[in-house]
Amino acid sequence: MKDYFSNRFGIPGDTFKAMRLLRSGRTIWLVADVLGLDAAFRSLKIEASGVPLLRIRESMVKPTTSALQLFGQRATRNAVDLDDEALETFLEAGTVSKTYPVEPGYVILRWKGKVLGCGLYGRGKLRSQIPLTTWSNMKGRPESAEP
Amino acid sequence: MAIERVHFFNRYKDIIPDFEGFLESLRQPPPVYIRVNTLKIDSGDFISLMKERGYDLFPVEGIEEAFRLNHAQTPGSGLEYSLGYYHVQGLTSLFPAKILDPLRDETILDLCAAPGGKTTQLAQLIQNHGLIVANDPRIERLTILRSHIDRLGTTSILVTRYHGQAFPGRIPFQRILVDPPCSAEGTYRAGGQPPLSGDPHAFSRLTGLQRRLLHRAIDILRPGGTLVYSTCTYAPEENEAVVDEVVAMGKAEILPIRLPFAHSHGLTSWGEKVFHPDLTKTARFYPHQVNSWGFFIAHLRKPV
Repeated sequence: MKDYFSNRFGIPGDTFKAMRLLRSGRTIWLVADVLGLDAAFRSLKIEASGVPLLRIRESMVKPTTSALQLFGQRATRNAVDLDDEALETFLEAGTVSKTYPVEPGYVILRWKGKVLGCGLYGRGKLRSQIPLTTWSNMKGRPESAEP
Repeated sequence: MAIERVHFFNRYKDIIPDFEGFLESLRQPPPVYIRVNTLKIDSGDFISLMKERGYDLFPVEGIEEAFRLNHAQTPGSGLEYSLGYYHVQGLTSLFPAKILDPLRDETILDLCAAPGGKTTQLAQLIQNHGLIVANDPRIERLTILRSHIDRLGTTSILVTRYHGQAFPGRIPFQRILVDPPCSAEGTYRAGGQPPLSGDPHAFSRLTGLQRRLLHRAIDILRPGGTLVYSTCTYAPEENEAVVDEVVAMGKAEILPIRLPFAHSHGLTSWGEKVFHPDLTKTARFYPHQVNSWGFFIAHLRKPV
């Protein structure tokens, strides 16, 4: 599964050094591989481990926004840089109709070098895959500029 | 705020210094504080970004990752929040994890972790190089904790859902944070809800639970390990009395607290009750001393 990020986004494999992947249901979790981890898994009933990395779907895997926000900075391909205008459109409508130089499928969404999360690109349309609550929060910016 | 409710606090007029100043502080809304998440962004870059985006941001002397955010109406939203660059957290709420002072490669337990501000702060302090077990029995609050873990990128946290007073004793934790449910008198400022201490049944239930949680935490703490017990309330029954019990039994010793913020010493008596003299090493934070939520913090060590 670590290869997915390398193959799809060009994220170097050493990004996941000292990390452990764990599968639970249809989710792959990423947890720091630290001293005491094995003992914790043997001794405790764990509800969740680290952050979700990938969701497994029928024919493909989908990277999570949490994972891309953590590691997407290191991507060398299949990342879309949104300009201010595209970001506004995107935040408003959740979709941008435009051709981008990326392969169809899941892409990393960036704005001013910051990774927003996951998008789905195909047939000249870019759609947000960012969770709705996160998306709703993102649209509320910047609330503090008022006196 | 319905200021007539301050009668809740009249029983503290002999223990809170400058009691009128304290009451006056309750009439003021608390400032908004945020913690920059250095797991995702460098402090300098964060300051530049926030200023560029129009935020009114001021550093807090004494805690480099803390900032006061002025004119913030909904600080728990916005692009920067969603990107996990910061977490909204009261200034005094930052103190327990700072006092616990976890080190890399340690195994740490946050016994009453949700909603997760202090837990994710612990992960930040060790830069995800260690193991943090975040426990809370309340599933609806665990959902909030999980959302903060995902947003802030804290890969070092395992979540469990035990009743804290029955937490398994199979792992000898090096540090434990016990921030139990409390009557929340310290969060009663302008616009706040009345504290639970107005309800005798709830108050009695809370003090019993706090005692059981602290006893269990000490039981599962490694000998020589350290523990922070904190509440956001002023009631000595939930603070000094709880800590005094474990100290009197020889299960823990009290360590001094050193923080560059004004505070009062813990009490050595309350009503008829006399506490161990070392209770003066515990700290009470009042909102007219530090303009945030009221807090009580004790730093303990389990004897070897």
